[in-house]
Amino acid sequence: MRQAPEDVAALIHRAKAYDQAAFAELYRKTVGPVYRYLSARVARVEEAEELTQDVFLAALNGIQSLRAEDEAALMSWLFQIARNKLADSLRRRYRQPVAPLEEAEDMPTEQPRPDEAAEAWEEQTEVRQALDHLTSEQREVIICKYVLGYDNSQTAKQVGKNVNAVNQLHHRALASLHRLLSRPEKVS
Amino acid sequence: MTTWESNASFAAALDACCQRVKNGEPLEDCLADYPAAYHSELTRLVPVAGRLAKVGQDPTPAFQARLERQLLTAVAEEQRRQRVGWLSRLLSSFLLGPVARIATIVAVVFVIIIAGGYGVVNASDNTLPGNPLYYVKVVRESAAMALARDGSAKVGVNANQIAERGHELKLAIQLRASPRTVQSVALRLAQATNQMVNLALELRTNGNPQPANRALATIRTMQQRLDVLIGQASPADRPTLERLRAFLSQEEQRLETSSRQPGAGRSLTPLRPAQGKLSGHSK
Repeated sequence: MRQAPEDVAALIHRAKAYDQAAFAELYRKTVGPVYRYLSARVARVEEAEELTQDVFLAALNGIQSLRAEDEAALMSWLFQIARNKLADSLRRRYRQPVAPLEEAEDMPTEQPRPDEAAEAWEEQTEVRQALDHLTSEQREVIICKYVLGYDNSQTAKQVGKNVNAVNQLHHRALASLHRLLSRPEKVS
Repeated sequence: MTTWESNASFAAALDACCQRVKNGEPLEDCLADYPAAYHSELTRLVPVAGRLAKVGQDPTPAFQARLERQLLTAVAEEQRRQRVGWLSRLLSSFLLGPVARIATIVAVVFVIIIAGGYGVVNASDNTLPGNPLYYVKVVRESAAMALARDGSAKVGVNANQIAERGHELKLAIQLRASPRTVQSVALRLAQATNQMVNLALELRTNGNPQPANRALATIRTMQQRLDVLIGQASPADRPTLERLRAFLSQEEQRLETSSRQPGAGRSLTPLRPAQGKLSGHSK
């Protein structure tokens, strides 16, 4: 359940004084959405975990600059850090592409991987790749609504648009995803 | 913009059907609640929502707990640094020195004995040199090395130490620890690598190539991590990391060269990573 804004504000205030209990509570409240946000964008569990770790360590480093007074603003701040970390990671990957074999070895596997799990993994990879082809605003709307489970007003707050604009972005995003995911050659 | 996009009533239908399909309801049930004119567009778009629901995983409880421990250690470290800021100015004239350092070590050992070890050992996981709990980790690693049943297991312990030092380097850079801390970790990493390579070469000479393969894989993984860290490090830390990177390449070459030579590893030249090499000045 969502806490009253003043409670989150108080926790942030205490966390800025490096109060461990406050930091732990903020962490527990936000780690799920941050991880889900990142895991919607990267395929490997290890990468999602490493990025989540980077986000929270960066949050600790930058906590003095945090101006949030409620949970939504706190999440916006964390998602912004997550977007930056993702961009850094994608830049690194672009400079040092992972060999396909290495990537295959790193897939979240149980040995041997059942066919069903393999299919699910392929399906998720395909959807993730399609998400990469959306505009950043469309992608944010889709992630807010389907990965984070936000309603329209929460999504609107998160992407900084009104509800009508969110509806239009949602519609266009679904139309693009439909087109991308039904192409015979699929997304690459 | 299409007519559908600007139609608020359709937007509501699309939103509701997407949520219902995402929650497992059949599309047909949802279509039945809306005008027929909406059906073809809903049929086209709503199934995409069902596919989207599957991306985005929850973190495992083990990962959450591990990261929480790491963060709280980092928070404590930060708190300690803040406290030390004014405390050190106040007490440096009479308290900080070799005697205090020895006293700290004695105190840590005492705490380990009193606290039964477990909590302290756990808390030492994410510490850096300079933190009294770091000695607990060092003692634990020494114990693991002493208990390793054979040379192959010792190489494994070294490989774990290298991974741990890599983790510490990352932490030190992210927490903007002092260059001295980064140098200290880098030196320890170089020492563990050197020890691992010497042992692996010796084992290969005796007919066991597996530890050398593991050593090579460990070094290469560490090199990749270092490449990333060099990009993230401050200008003050970068030379240390670059020297460490060069040292790892040398060690990698030793393993590779000896594997191509008959009687590989027989003539070992112990390569001692001199402190000055990594810290940038000789002592």
